[in-house]
Order: sequence, then structure tokens, then C-alpha cells
Amino acid sequence: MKQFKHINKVILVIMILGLSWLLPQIWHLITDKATRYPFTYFSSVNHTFCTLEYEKEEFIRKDAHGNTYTEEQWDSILPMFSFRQLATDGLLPDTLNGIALSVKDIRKTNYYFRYKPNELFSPSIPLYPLFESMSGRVDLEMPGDVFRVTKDGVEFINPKTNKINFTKSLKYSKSLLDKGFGGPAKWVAGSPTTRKSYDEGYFILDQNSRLFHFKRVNDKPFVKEIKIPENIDPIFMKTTEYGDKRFYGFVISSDSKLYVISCNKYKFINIPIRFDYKNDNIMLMANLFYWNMGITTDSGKVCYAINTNDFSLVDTLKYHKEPNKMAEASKYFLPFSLKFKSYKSNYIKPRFSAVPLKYMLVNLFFVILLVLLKPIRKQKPTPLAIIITLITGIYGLTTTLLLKL
Amino acid sequence: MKKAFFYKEWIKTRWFLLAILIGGILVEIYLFLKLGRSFRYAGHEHLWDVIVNRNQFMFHTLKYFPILAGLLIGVVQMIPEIVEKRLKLSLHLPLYESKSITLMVGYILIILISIFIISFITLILGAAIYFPLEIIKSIAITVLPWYLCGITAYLLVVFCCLEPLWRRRIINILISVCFLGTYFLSSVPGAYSKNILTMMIIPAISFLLIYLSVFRFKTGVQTN
Repeated sequence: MKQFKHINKVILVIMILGLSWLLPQIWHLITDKATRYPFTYFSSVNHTFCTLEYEKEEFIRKDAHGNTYTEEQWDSILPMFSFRQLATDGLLPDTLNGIALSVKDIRKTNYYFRYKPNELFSPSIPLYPLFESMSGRVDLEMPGDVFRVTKDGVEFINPKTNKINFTKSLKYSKSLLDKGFGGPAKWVAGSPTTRKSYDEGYFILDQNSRLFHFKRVNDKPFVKEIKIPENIDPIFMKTTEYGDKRFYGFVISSDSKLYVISCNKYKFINIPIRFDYKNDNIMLMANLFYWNMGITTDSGKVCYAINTNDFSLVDTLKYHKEPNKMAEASKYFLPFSLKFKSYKSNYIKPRFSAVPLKYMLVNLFFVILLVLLKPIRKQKPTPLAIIITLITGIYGLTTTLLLKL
Repeated sequence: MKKAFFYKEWIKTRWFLLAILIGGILVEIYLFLKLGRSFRYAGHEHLWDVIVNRNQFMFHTLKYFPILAGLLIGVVQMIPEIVEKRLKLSLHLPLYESKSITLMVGYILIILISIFIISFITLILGAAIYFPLEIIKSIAITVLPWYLCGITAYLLVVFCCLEPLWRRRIINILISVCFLGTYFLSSVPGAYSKNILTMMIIPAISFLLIYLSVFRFKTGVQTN
């Protein structure tokens, strides 16, 4: 039985880990503050960034040069953002930058795109409905089955019977295999929803890293191999199916570059932004003239204005995140933390993070505190207690006090 | 001696184990009746769509069955041992204390794991009638941590009950709450798929901790 005495050390480790999970969470609950960046939009009239901020219970509208604007002036310098208001007031210009404007065209080219790392790092069920792309109907309809990508192509399964439709599967698999498809898929990208104006099917990256465009046209398989430029290793794709039909979707490569696949010969076009696909969020607000891209990182936000036509970088604007003093202060007494959840991933797993070693000097203070507590505790701290307090700081001290080490 | 041990535990827990088994069957009947109604209301294709594309999980009710089963059986097995100080007698039998406690805990563990396996297999086989392999895999990986939680809950009840000091028992309860809390951190189906190993380590550690409580009980720890 004596050998079990050593399990006491296991309790010690468990308590330190538990405290490094709970205490930082409690500290965050008490001190977390939302970081708000001004709403930023690139003016297609002034050709400069304009911002909208809520300060002291009023909206402040200004541009990058410091000029302030009234609400009406703001609408007029951002016609691509405020086109509905301008159209209602009869103030929408007929032409802008040499291009004729109509509400219909503006609507078609105004679209949004979002990327968050947890879209990539998320469990998913690899089953997909293959819509009829040319049904001739205004609304898309559910196809009545879903497909999975296998080693030998695709298999269509009927939800009513939970059985494979072999005839259809064979027909579509043959088309894929004829084009050199080597399953199963590394990833499949598509929008499995009927709430879109048209359907472009799916983009499938096979085991040999060859990309295929796969859709159903007039109840027949459509398969087209897309040539991926040599230096691009696509790890994620999000299809768009926007009204202007310029692109099939956004592709993220393993070196954190963003591309669009053009509807014109499936060309990969690089979008000149810098981001880290594992950590940063992307928000795109596109319009007829500029793509307003916001990259939110752990340290701030960078806004990019990109020319809609040639994707050249027009301007950038940086916001630095105001340091949260309370979060900074925690580095001095919370030497490391254990987390299971992350807003960058939908997977639950242990994640350790530690502060730089210099902050751990504060642990000496906890050791002194432990020694000073001797009269109250009526016991001398053991060498083990001193060592764990020195290494783990407040976690070790708390454990020592609770376990009376 | 072993037979007598098992018989003692059997007499003490049989009705509760039966209740857990029946409870598990009733939960599954309810889940499949609910699933059938959902199919009738929403249609097969729509239901598959919300499961695949909107992260809906059809068997959330099952989440609480294993943990409740583990807590219940732990309490009914251990409370009489403590209240009536029967454990002292058990630990003074001509058998190693570690062996005695392994027999006691092992007996319940085998039956509890068997009930959980029956429940798990029934769920998977039932779901396999309606869903393809991909959804079955997602269901399995989602419910597996819940069953592991049930086993952990039982072991932690034993760990807390056998601890002789109330002060330390409170610390043990807090540790147990943290351990069990890790199984309920996300409602996203398959969220634990990259972490099943860690979730398996927790019951293994909990099993070890029982021996610490027995050691402290046996040595009559009084101060810390």
C-alpha cells in the first residue's frame, strides 16, 4: 500500500494544472474588454479611408486626413456603402469614376466575405448535396441525395433509404476518373445551401493535390481539372457564387496567401494582403471600385483598399490594439495557463501557453510569502513546496497551502 | 474470498445497476422515438441537411445519462461503506487493501462499462439504420467522451468518498468537478475528435487517485 503514497504527487500536478486552467479564466472573466475598431470604408469619391466611430454618445465620421463629415456628407462620399439611402433621396450620381451607376449594378458587385480560422479548424461531416446547376428554375432545389467522395470517385446516398444509388454514383465517378481524379478528397469546397442565386457545384482537391471543379449540369456530371500554379499549396477554399460571377471562390494556401479563382479560365489571382490563416480573421466588403479588406489579428487590425478590377493594393490603414493593462498585469502572477477552448478552433484540446521567463522572477515573491506564512501555517515549508512555488508561482503556492505541504 | 466480495457488492448495487440499465434503454427508446418524429416532421433529406451542414446533434439528451449513472452507482456503492464504516472491515480482510479495493471498484467498473457498451452499440446500430457511415462516425466520436465521463464520474465518487478528511474531501470534490467539466466544454459534434486520448487519460488518472484515498483511509490520516 505504501507505494500509493506517491500518488500524492499526482494530486499536486493535477491541482497545479487545474489552477492554471481556472485562475486565468476567472481573471479573463473579470478583466476582459472588447476591442472595437472604427468602421472603416474606402471612399470611391475621395479615394481615402473614411471611418465611423461612436464616441461620447455620438457618431464621429471622418476621413484619413482628419476631415469630419455630417451624416449626409458621409453618405455622399461613400456612395457604394450608402447607395440605398442616396437612391431613396434621389442623390445617387449617374456616373462615378467614369462608370455609369445603377442600383442593380451596385447590388451585384457589393458582397461580403468572411474567414475565421475556426472554419478551417472545425469537425465536419463529409457529405454534400449536389444541386442541379441548370434547372431553369429561379430557386435551387434540394437534389434528394447527398454524395461522399471515395477512393473510386463519388457515391450518392438517398436519405430516405440510406442506400447508395449505384447507377448515378457510377456515372459521376466515371467522369471524375476519366479526368484523372485520385480519391479520396483532401478537401471539398462548396456551398451546400439553396439560399444562393446560382450553383457552381464543388471544388475537390484529390490525394495527388489536383483540383477539380465538379458539378451537375442538366443532370449530367461536369468535371474540369483546374491547373494550380506550382508555388500554391491550397489548404482551404470557400466558394462564393456572388452575383457578378467573376470568381468561383477564395483559396487560402499553406503559406497564408489569399487567392481568388477567376471564372475566366480558372486563373489564380493573388490578393495582396498579409495574414496568418491560423490566427487572423478576414472580412471583405467589396464594391464596384474597391475591395475593403479588414484583417483582424491579435495585435490590431489592418484595413486594405484593393482595386476591384486589377487587385492592386491602393491603400492601407493600421489600427493598433490598445493593450489591456489588466491582461498585461496577469503576466506577473499567472506564469502559464492551460486552455481547452479557443475561438480560433472548434476542437477541444489542451493548449498550454507560458509567459516569458523574466516574468517568473515574481515567483520568488510567492516563495518569500510561503516562508513568511510559517507562523500561521505552524509548519516549515518543505523543499518540495519551495521548488514547486518557485517554478509555478501562485499555482504552486495555492496547492502548497491547500495540501499543507 | 473474491466470490464473497463480488456477492457483497452485488447485493448492495444490483437494483441500482438494473435501474441504470433500464434507464439507459428508456433514454435510447426516447431518442429514437424523437428521431422518428423529426423524420416525419422535417423529412429525411432536411434532417440530414441540418445534421451535416448546421451541426445539429440528434442525441444530446444522452449526454447526461452516463454521468448520472456513474454518480449514482458510485454513491450507492460507497456511502454505506463510509456511513457504517464497513470499509474498515473490508480493508482488514486477509487480502491486500489494494486488491480489496480493486475488486470492489473493478466489479462495478466491469458492469458499468458493459452497460455503457450495450448503450453505445445500441445507439450506433440504431443510428446506422437511418444514417450513413460519416454521420455514424460523428455520432460515435461525439458520444464517446460522455461515456468516458460516466466512468470518470464513478471513479471520482469513490475517490471523494474514501477520503477520510472532510477538508481534503472538498479539495477532491473540486478536482472532480474540474475533471468532469472537461467533458462538457463544447456542444459542437465531434469537438473532442482530436482529443479522445486525453479524455481517456482522465479516467485512468481517476482510477489511480482512488488508491491515494484508500492509502490515506488505511493509514488514518488526520491532519492534511
